[in-house]
Amino acid sequence: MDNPFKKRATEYISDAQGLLSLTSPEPLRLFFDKDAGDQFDRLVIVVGTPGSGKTTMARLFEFDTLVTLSRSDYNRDYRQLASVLHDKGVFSDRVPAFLGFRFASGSSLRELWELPYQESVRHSLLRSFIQARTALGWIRKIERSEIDVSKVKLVPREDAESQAKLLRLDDVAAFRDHARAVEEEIFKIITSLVPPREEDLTSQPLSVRYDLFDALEAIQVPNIPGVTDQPVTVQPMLILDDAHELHASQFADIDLWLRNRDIKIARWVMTRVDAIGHTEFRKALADELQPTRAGTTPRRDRLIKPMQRESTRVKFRPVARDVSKRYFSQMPIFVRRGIENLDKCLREEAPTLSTAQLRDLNNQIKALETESALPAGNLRALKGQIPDSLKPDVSAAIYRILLQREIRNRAQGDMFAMEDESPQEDEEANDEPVEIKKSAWVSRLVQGAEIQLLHDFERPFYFGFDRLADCSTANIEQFIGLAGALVEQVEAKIIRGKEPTLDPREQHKVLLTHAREAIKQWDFPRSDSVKRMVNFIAMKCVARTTEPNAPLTQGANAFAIPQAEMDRIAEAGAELVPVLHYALAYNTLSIHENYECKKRKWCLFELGGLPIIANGLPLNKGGFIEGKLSELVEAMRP
Amino acid sequence: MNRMFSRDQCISHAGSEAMEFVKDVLVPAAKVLFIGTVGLETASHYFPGLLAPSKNVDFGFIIERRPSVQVELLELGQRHQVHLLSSLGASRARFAEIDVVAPDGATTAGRAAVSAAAEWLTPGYTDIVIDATGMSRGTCFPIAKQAIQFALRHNVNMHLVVAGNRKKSLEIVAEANDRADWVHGFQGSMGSDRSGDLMKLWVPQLAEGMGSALDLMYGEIQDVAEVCPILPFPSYDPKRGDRLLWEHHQAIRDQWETGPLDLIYAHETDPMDVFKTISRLHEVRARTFGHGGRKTVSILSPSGWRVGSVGMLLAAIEHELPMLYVETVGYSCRSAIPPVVETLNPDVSWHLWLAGSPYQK
Repeated sequence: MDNPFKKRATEYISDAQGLLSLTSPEPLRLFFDKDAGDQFDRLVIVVGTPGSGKTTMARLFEFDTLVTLSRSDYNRDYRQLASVLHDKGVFSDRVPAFLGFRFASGSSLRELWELPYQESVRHSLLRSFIQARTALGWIRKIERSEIDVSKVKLVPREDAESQAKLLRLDDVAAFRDHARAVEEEIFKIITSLVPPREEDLTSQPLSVRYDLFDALEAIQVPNIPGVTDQPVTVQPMLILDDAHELHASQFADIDLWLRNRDIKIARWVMTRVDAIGHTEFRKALADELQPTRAGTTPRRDRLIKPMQRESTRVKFRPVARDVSKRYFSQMPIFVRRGIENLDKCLREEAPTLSTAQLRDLNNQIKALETESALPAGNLRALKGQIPDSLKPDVSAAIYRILLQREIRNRAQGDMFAMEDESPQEDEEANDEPVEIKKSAWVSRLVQGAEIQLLHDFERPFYFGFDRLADCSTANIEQFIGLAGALVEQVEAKIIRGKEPTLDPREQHKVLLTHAREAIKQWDFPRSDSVKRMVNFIAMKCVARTTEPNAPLTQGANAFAIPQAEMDRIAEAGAELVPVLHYALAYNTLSIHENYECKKRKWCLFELGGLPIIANGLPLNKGGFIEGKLSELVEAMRP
Repeated sequence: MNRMFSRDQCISHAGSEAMEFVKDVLVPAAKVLFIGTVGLETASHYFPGLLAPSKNVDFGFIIERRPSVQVELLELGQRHQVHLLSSLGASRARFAEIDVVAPDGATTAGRAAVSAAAEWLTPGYTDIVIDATGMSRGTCFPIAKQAIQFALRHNVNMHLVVAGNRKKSLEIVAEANDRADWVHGFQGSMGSDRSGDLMKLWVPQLAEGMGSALDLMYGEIQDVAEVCPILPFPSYDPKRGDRLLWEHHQAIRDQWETGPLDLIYAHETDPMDVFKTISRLHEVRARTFGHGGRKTVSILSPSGWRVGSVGMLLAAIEHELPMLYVETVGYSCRSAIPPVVETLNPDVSWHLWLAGSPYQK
């Protein structure tokens, strides 16, 4: 693999070794709660945008991948991964505890919904098909792990004896034949040009009803070659991937069915965020993200796990660092030169303005000082608020902002002699100590000043590894795309015999070009409308961010509507719903509902990393433009 | 006993011969069912126009409804429908609207098309003509397969016709769906447990602006053993193949790990060349790996010129191969839309006799 950054997704890597070599343990650490046990005894719905690592996670949990990992314990690159899995109970003394099978929903399951049958028949076929296919998948995974299938034992639940007989759980070969017959019977119905009539289904040679999940307790394998010679009992696990491809009613039925606590197999449903568009499910997700209140048990029969959380922006940095390290270790051009990670190639020394630009900025400041007519003491006090450690251009830009605010306040007759800053902090932040608040304020002001310097003087802003990671909006695939563009430039430098590093200006240029090009190439459904809507939000944010007095300090990267309007989106913005569906699905926007600010509840539409870079906006979250749903509807129209 | 075409025997006519066949054989035929579509391109009027003089032809037109189509194009479609009605007569022309995708984005074109065509495919016809010209692949291919099955069952003739223009009269931009689907009726065993035993060869036809669609299809297949992309050559524009190679070079080299020897060149507008090329490839591969006890499957992905992709349809039917594609969910137009209906003769036209009397033992 010459350049794994060019593989657009790890899911395209078919062999387990290839997948493991690129799989970082860091997302797993973030994914699992302290107590991982509840993720294997009830339904878990994993929600994330494309590229957030759902399928990689699903493939990692497949039995043959876990066995490969266990067999490769000599490989020090895999040790961290194995260690995390041991900690979370996925391995016990190198032996996998689960027999995972990833079932990609694909079009076949959705096709079942189109059959001309009663809804109950279609749901019944869907459940039977999933169970039969999963049974076959488990056996295939055992086979691929070089285990003698004939010696496998299927352990039924104690109270399911008669069902166990029907399913032939006593004889693995007969069990497989039966499952295959059911699977093929239903598959024939799905794929036939003209399906059989509903009344003819009963005359099929075989009953297509197949209820395995509530009859099976565990599976025992005689040994796992290369791992253990002893019999091992594993918990069967279904990972239903790409569940967003199901019809909403199918999704709801599966949700209901797999929530049944009588089912003893582990079950994960992986879905893109847009599948949860239905009001009820969106509400469930919002509830899930709220801290559990005393006396309630919202997670009793189902867990909803988002792959990307609001709080993970900073936490994503170590993930990105680890991913990059793994990818670099696969590239001989870097290995030969002892370059272990991309951060070694990204110079972080802060750029500064040219002498002429700095002169220009200082002239603007002088003019403002004159205009303000402030006494020298007041000007000194303003300057005193700026930390000495900052570069001259950033200090000057901050001073310019503070001067502008002072002028504005005076123009209003000192009626409100306070900072002209719209406080848009999360309400929880109000409880923080004064020093922390001040330091956070300075940090936001520095970012606001740097963004203004970017717009006024093209001073690079998007550089350094941390900002690269922040630009990825906690999406691994997006990180790989952005990092890949930088890696390509570093490779070119090596080939030309130059120092393998990129200065901030080069990094900024590469990321900007990549972001603009990537947006131009968006071609998912409704992408034209999405582009118009994203552009509208971005333009509003740019205008607000570049106002001379930086009213939002760091600037804005989101558009907010009152939550009450969002709650009525089905009526008020029906036209917008499908556009929003794809905007969210493809990471161009993210939604933050019930965001409390200024004593009101908002729904924030936050721009994704690519539009942020392409439009020169800040990376910190929280700064938003207030607007209405109708503005978004208008903006997306041609 | 009625039989159908094969790689060794497939009666076909191109250009003026196709036109003469329609005029000399189909116009005088006793009872003809024509199934076409209300297309946006002028070429879609060509075959209905040739058959219009016959009083023995019943016309059925599919109207494909998509969620994201420019209003002006919808109006153009309506003008074309009015034109067909006035030129063929209301008593002979029937229309059936189908949803190409469901509101949740799932592809429903093939199933809906088969259901609509089933209403028209009734006994009593001597010849069934399927016009692939303006029909999307997801609609046309299942109907063609359905019509062949009908022809074999009822001992009638089945013809496939297709026409196209070198220079499109409209600069239409298609908006692709974000999921790959098996063409309805052409899934084979793909997606079942048994498909895990197969060595998969993917044969996508390359076309402009379909990078994301190729990505989706590649992701759908899983565990692809080999990829052999088809490039158009000979082509009206001799450099088109090279340009496509450049456009998709990253996927070809980095993603699919395809070498120069894996590239296949097939005629841009000769379906028989595409058909024979794929047949050869599939048979050689099946023979080679069959000796080692491995089962193989060639997965076809038609795109680009409709005329060329009809060759894929023939190969898929002959060898029972699965076909994977990405449906179009919308259209917009970058050029001016003509206010009046134009009827121009196409640059390319084909007639393929797929089942019926020539193949009877």
